[in-house]
Amino acid sequence: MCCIVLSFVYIFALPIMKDMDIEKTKTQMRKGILEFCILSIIKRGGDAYATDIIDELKDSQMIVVEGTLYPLLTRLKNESLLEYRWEESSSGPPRKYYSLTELGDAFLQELKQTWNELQGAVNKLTLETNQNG
Amino acid sequence: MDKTISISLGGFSFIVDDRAYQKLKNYLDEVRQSLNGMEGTDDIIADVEVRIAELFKQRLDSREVVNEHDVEYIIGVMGRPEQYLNEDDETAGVSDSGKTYTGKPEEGGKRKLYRDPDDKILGGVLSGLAHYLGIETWITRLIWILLFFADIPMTGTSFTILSYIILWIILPKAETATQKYEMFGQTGDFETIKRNVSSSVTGVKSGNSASNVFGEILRAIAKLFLIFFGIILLLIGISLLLSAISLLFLPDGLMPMKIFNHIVDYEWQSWATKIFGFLLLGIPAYFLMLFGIKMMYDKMKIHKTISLTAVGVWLIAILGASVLTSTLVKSFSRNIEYSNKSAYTVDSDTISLAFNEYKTVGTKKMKWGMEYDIDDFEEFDGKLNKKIERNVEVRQSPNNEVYLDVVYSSKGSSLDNARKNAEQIEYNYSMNSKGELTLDNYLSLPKDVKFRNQDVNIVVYLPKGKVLHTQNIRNVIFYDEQTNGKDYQRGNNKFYKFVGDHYECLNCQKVRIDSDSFDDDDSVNISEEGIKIQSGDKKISISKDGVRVQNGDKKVNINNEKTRNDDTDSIDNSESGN
Repeated sequence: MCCIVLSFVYIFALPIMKDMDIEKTKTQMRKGILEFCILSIIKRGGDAYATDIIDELKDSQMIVVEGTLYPLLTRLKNESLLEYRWEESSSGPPRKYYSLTELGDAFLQELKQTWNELQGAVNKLTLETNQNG
Repeated sequence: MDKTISISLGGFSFIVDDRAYQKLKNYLDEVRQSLNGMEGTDDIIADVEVRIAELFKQRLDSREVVNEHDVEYIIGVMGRPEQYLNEDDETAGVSDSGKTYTGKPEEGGKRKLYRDPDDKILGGVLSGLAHYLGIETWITRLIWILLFFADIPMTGTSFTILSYIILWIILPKAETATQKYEMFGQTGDFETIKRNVSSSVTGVKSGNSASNVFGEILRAIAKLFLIFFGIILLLIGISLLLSAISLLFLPDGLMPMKIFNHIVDYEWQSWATKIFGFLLLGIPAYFLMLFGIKMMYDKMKIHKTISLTAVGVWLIAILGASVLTSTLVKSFSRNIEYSNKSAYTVDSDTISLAFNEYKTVGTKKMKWGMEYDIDDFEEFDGKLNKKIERNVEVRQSPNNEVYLDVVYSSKGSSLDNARKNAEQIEYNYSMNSKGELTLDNYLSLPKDVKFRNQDVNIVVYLPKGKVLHTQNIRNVIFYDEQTNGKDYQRGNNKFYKFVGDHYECLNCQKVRIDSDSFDDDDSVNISEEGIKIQSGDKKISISKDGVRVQNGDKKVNINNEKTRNDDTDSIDNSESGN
C-alpha cells in the first residue's frame, strides 16, 4: 500500500512540485536576461568574438563561469537568431565571429521593448513598496 | 617524472603531462555528457576547446608543459560540467575556482553504491558493487554467475536475475565526477578517476594483468549468456503480450467470459476486468521484452519516464483489480441452503435412480456436457443452464416411505441476497409409480439472475428393504448415521441392497462393468441387450436370443422361440471330446 501511494506521489505530485521550484524560476529569469545581454553586445559591435563577449559579461558580472556561454550561443544560432563567419587571426587559427540575423535583430528589438516595459513597471512597483514600507 | 603527451587543442598544440591529460579528457567527456545530446554539441565542444587553448596560452606564458593545476584552473574558469546548462548549480561554491572541482576530501571517505557506466556488461551493477565492496570486478561477476546456476535448481525461479534487474532500476548511475569519486570512496584521488577513463584513453595503457585476462574471458562468457537470456526474456515477453492482447479480445461466447458475464453486476465490470488483466499482463511483458532487448543490445536506451509511468499504471491496475475482485468476492461471501423434501410411497421392491442424459429443448433432445454440444454452462432457451454434479446421497428412511430431498444452495452478498439467489433455481425431477426417479442433470436460472454458484444436491432416503438401482450417476454416497461416514460408490448401472449394516453392490464384485471385454478374462456386462458373464473360457449370456452357457468346449443353449428357425431341440447340448 505504501508503495502504491509513493508511486502516486512520484508520478503526479513530483512534477508539480518541480514546477514550483524557485531556483528554476530564477534560472529562467537570468537566462532570459543573459540572452538579451549577449544579443545587445553583438548588436553594438556589429559582430563579436566569443572571448570578447565573455570578457564583457564577466566585467558586468552577468556570468560566473564561462562554460555557460557556449551552449547559449549555439542555441541562439540553432534558433536562427545568430549566425557566424570565420575570420583569419594573426595569432592562431581562424576565429568565429557572431553577428545578428534579421530575425535576431527583430527579436532583440522586442526584448528591448519588453525589458523597458518591465523595468518601468518594476521600478514603479518597488518604489511604491519602498514608500509604503 | 610523469609522461608527457602532445595534444592539439583548438588549433594550437600543447605538451601536457599524463595526469593533466587524463583530467582534461575526462572534463571534456563530462562536458559533452552534461550537454545531454543537445543539438550542436560538437560545435560547443569545439568552441570550448578553442577557449581552453586561449586560456592555456595566457597562463603558460613561458612554461612548456601543461600540468594538473592548469587544468584545474581551466575548470574553475569554465565551470563544472553540470554548470554548462545550468549556471545556478553552485552547490560547491564556484568562487574559489578550480579547487572545488577536485577539492581534496577527507581521507577514506564513505563509499557509495552506484552503477558504474565505465565498466559494465549490462547495467554496471556488479562493477558498482565491486567498487563498493572494494574488490575486483571479476569477483562479483563470477559470484553472480555461480549464484545464477545454483539459483534455478534450488528455488525454481531466478532470484539472481530478479535482484539484478531490481538493482539496475533502483541504483543510480555514477555520472558526474563527484559520484565516481564517491563510488570508490576516495574522493579526489585522481588515480581512481584515471582508472575509469583508461579504456577511452589512447595514450597510456599498462599491460593486462592475469586477473584482467580472466576478467575478459568472464566478460565474453557473460555476454553470451546475456544474449541467450535476452532472447528467452524477449520470447517470454512476446508470448505474455500476445496472451494479454487476446485477453482483451476474449469473445463473450467462450469460457471464461461466458460465465463471467453472468457473475458481474454491470457490464463495465467485465470491461474493467479485461483492461486490468491486459495491463497486469501487458506491462510486465513490456518490461521483459525491454530487458531482453537491452540484454542483447546494450546501447538501447531505456526511457525512464515511460518506464516509471508504466510501473505507475501497473500499480494502479493492481489497485483497481483488487478493488474489483473484492467487490466480486463480496457477492460470494454468504452461503445459504434450503431443502425441498417430498415423500413417495413405492410398492416396487426396486427404486431406480437416474440422471437424465438429455435436455429437451423444444422438440429436440440435447446431450448435455458430453464431448459435443455444450459446456458446463450454456445459455439457451432464454436461461442460463448449469450442469450439476451427478451425485446422490443415500440415507436411511425412518419408515417405508421414500423421501427425496432436493437441497438448493447459493451464495450472495448477504443472507437475504443468497436466499433470493437460491430461490431462483429451477430444477426438475420426476418420480413415477414404478419407483423410477428421474433427475435433471442441470439446473436453470432466469437470464437476468446473476450466477452466485447456485447448486443442487440430491439426498434420497430409502427404506431398508428396497434394492437401489442406479443409472448414470457419478457417485452414490451412502451415509452412515452411526459413524457419520460417507461411502462413495460408483453409480453407473449398479444394484445395491442393504445387507447387515451397509449397502452392498450386487453386480460389481471383483469385476469391471461395461468393459468391452475382448482381452479381459473376467467380466460381467449388463446392458439393454442382456447379461454376459465371462470368466476365462466359461461364459454365460442371457439375451433376447436366449440363454447360452459355455464351459470350455461344452455348450448349453436355451434359445428363445422367436429366433428358433428350425426344428432343433430348444435345448441344444453339444459335446465334443471329453
